[in-house]
Amino acid sequence: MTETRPNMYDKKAPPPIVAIIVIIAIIVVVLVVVGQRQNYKPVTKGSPSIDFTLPDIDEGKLHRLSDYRGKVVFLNFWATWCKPCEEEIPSMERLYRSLEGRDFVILALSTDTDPPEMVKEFTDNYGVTFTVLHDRHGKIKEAYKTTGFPETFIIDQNGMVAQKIVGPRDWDDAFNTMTIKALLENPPAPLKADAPKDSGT
Amino acid sequence: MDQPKVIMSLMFFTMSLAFYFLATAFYIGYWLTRKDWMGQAGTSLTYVAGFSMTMILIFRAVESGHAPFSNLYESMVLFIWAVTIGYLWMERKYKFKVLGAFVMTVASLAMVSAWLLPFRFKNIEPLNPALQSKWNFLVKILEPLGLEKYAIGWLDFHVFATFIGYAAFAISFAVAIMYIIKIRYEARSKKSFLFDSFPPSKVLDELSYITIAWGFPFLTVGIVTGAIWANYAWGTYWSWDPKETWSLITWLVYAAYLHARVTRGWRGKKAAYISIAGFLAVIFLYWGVSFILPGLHAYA
Amino acid sequence: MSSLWKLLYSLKFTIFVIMTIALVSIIGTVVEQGRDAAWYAMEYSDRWVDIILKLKLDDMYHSPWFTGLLILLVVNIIACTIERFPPKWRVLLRKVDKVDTGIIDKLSHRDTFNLNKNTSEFKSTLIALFTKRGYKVKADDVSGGGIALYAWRGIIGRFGSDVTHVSLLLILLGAIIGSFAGYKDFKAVYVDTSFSVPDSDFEIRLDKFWIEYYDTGQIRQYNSNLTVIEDGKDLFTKHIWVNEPLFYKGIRFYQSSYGKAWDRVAEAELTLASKGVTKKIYEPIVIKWDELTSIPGSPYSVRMIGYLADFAYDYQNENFYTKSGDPNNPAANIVVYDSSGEQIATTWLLLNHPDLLGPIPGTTDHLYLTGYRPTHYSGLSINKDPGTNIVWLGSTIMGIGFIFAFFIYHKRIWLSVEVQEDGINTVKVGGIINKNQLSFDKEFDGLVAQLKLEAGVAETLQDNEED
Repeated sequence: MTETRPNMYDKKAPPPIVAIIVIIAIIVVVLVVVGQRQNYKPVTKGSPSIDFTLPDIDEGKLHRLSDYRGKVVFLNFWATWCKPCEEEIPSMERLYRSLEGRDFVILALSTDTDPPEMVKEFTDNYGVTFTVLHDRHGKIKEAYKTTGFPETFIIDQNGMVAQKIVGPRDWDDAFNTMTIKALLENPPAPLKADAPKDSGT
Repeated sequence: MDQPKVIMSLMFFTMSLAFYFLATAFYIGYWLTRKDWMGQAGTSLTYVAGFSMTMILIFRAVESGHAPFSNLYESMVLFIWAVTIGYLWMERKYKFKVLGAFVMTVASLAMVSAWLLPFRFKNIEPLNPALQSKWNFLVKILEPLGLEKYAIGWLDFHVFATFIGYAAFAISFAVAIMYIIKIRYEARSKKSFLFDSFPPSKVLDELSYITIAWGFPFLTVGIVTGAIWANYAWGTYWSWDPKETWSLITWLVYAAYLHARVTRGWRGKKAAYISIAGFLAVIFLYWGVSFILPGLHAYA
Repeated sequence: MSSLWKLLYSLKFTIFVIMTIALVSIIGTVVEQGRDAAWYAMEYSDRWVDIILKLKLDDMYHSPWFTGLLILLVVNIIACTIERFPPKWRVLLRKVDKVDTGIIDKLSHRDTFNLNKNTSEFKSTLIALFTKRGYKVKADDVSGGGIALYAWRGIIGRFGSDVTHVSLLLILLGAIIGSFAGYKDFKAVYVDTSFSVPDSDFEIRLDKFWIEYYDTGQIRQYNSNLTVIEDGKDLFTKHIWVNEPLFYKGIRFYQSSYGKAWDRVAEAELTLASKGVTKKIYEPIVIKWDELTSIPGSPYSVRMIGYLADFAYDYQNENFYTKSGDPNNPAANIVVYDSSGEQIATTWLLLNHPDLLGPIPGTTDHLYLTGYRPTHYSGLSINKDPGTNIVWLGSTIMGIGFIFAFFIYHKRIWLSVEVQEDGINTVKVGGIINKNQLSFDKEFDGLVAQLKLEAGVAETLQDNEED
């Protein structure tokens, strides 16, 4: 008999402990993953916004998305090296100024790995007055499942995503700000208070 | 308001990741303790992982409306799926469960690297013009059924064959490492707790050859069908772009291995090192070319 | 036998050549191929640029030394085949006249057992058994009442390497033919224009170019309708898209790209402004390429006769040209006519520099270029490669060679039946396989089990498997 094959031990049926291990493994894995199924949904119109806390580029003061409940949030993902992002900054600034005094805020998340001072230098060049936050490790952009720059999420007063815009826009154009204006004119009925969904930063 | 739905393929990926970790843990446990039930648990969990990976591919195809290997993430899933199927087939035939500790570690590492990819690599995208290669005869057959978007062509064939090849090389890589460890210990007469459970080096050498004897033809089919596709899409079957060139480099390294095995003085250890170099070339071909080098083939 | 010849057909030389080609090919992936000298001068320091150009690293795969390496490989293949193929052919295809069962004792796969059946009955059983397993059999009667049997199959597996090597030569031949007798070209074609195809006697006209989009806005496909014109007549029209080329008279036309035209636009938007005593901004008008259009409410008509995407002025030669294909400085060349149809001005209007030029001469009216709609060109790759079919033929033969080499194994079994003095017959069986020993273990064990059953020393197949 050739000696290159191991013994025929596996002709016997495996002991019950194997079946138990496998069944428990399957149940635990499925339960845990399905319990987190929110993570596997795209973030688009109808999704709840994902809460986060990030420093701004002025003083490093921390801002929490859920603090802006009750306002329409223009959440914009950009980077200094992204040309289309740069091109839409002036119209974003004009939009922000035109809605001053209303329940409207812009949070522009820069994913630059550069220090915040560099980002501030860049935005000061354009006379930016809206809030610029620093998502330096890109964690929030991953949580929002963005695939490029710029991407903008219009979040309503209840923290739900009302619109997702991929790519740059001319924010002077009334067509592009229709959703924002509509939300400001007719805010949605407040939902019952529930804990904002956290991204875990 | 329309509630966004769960992307099933992403959910199955996380589940698969967990199963790969568990399977690898049990195989390593079997290697260290020699307890049969651990090895059997490893095998069963590998079957579960393989099933879970199959689910990813199916859901992906449904979600995207095209064959599930059009970007880096999808192709990694295909690759790891093929490694798993290949390993299970090998274990069934030759019954050396200790190989699982090594092969499944490679598979788990591959799963982790796919998992760490930024979301833009995992996004479901429609195919750009160059990737839409469909065989006309298949389109004609599927049209009346409304399924013509699932018609495949040279591109799908090319990707599939190539990744089966890569998967076989991944298994041979794990085996080659075990071989080099084993011959070192066979030279000493001492008993080694860790390495006595390895199959004899002669057997490991044979297994390494068998896996490459499958991988090499598949890689060749992959290269040739890639050339056929390039001929239709870009007008030339070979343009020496970095991806094509690196696939040729990989092919040459494995050809050298096959010749080394029948050359006196090159069998055994030298051949094993060549096959390890071959798999490193595969890794560079797959990831390095896309991220480090310029060229047409930025993909995968 | 000269030692040079010995080197040329040696396997060590093969490994050396293959690994050298592999390593050297890496260079061409790190140094970008096919760029002009100026580009390398920008990317690399002077010393490296010198090396790159001297060693022809900018096009290394067509360089003499790389070709030399390929020639070495070809020589090695040919030498190897000349040396090894004929003896292999002779040995393997030689008719077996006498079966030598002495070899069995030297084989690692062998077994011995008794025979409880009649020898000649056993012989016919054996022949049937081996034939059923796909073997060819030669069974001789040995003096003294014994049997000497030799069974074999899969000889063709040994020729896998030769077939593969020949296929490689074919592929290289196809590649050489292609590079000498073929050509590649690229043409950016505008709609309703035609071009004559190099190295042939027909023309191609682009009738239509269009882009299809997905719902998400991403490009789905770009398409062209091409008409083949021969002897002044339209022969046929084909709709091509990426992956679906037009093939005619050995030449292929591929939709490989498209782009925005740099020397024409479909439409331009002009706005007239009066800055005199009465200030007025007129409604912008859209004018088509080369179409006389009047500006309502004003005495003027305009016609667009030129466009440049990246406008620049060459002072030395006093001409206008475009610096690049990108719309970095779009400019339209406009002819202005007065109410009586007299041409009063011809001027370039720059989109990004509206006030560079002054008003229309003799007036306080300014004309501005305020927009445009681009026109596209269809990017066609043209390829003639008569070697392609030879390459496909070579690839197919390589596939066949692989099947022989990797999946068909040369298996040989020897079996002897010897009559002992005590009258008991002993069966000795041994086998050998040229590769894939592991799979042969199982097969040989199964064969022995079956033989024992037929020899009457086992009740069932199971009895033997529990060893």
